[in-house]
Amino acid sequence: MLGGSLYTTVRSPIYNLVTCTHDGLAFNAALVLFGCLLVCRTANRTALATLPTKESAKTSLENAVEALGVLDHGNRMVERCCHYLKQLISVLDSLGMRVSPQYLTRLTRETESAQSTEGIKQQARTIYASSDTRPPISTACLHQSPLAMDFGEFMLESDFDFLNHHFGSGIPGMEAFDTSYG
Amino acid sequence: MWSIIDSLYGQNINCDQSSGVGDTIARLFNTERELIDWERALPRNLRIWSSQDVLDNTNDTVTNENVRNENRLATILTLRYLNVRLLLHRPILIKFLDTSGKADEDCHELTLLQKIGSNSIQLSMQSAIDIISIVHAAVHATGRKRELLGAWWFSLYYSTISHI
Repeated sequence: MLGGSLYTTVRSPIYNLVTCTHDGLAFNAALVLFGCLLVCRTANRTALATLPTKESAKTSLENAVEALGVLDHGNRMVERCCHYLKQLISVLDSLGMRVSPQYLTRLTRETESAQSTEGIKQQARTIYASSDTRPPISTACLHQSPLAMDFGEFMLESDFDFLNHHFGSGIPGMEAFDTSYG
Repeated sequence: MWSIIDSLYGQNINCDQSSGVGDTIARLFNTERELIDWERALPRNLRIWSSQDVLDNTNDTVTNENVRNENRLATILTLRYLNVRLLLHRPILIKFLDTSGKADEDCHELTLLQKIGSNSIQLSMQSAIDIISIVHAAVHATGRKRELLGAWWFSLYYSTISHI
């Protein structure tokens, strides 16, 4: 279930029913936060003026990754949740919501401790690089797993369609609004 | 939670009956009122804390076992409450996300969503940030504070079920 569609996961209440656990709560909260950031990216800034800042939201996503990593170390499902959230953070980074220096430092530390995992090193390099540039989101780019894993394990084709559509055209009727949240 | 699943998720029987923004908001407000009534009826020692309360009131200097247990239960109840509030307001987030797939979105629906739905987005973001903040603080704490989240087997049990 956790490896299912991002969009489906956000839509389905089943996730909440069966994961009233602290790893489940944190993961679900991070997914909702990601969805809110997508909405805020194109929504009317005046109407959403009282929102938490994007920096605090982004920091929370990074904290969720960190907390999940500690919460149930060695649990395969929790590890998948961590990896999944890292991918979402990479997506936000590609949209210009840069990762914090603390997150980069931690990612580098993980990279050094996992010297045998070239894929993770590649992820660190990707995020470092995208902090200065804003590469376009493409299905090909998303399919290329920086964790050297099949990205489809975490996302379905419908997720790529949804994300690409969302990033490509924004929310109809909202394009004229301030997009500085992103 | 049952009331939310029943009224806002079509009893969770996988029948996608999308309702209008106005209808969704009306149901949401009704359930929100029930949630507020429930919160007001809570005993004082189990009141819902803010995330800052959780971080401030659960330090290692509390030596009384009963108080420690009350703090732990209040923390768990707060997390559950925040999670239910996320579930309650998530249909509005879904409405916002759905608009990205509909070029012919009703402009009146969209206006209503922007005017009233923004509060749900704000509540969802704050609830999500609070949940992550509490869990993050608890897992990085030492000593008694580390016990705030309760038994680990409980997490593992439900994690296994969710994985299935």
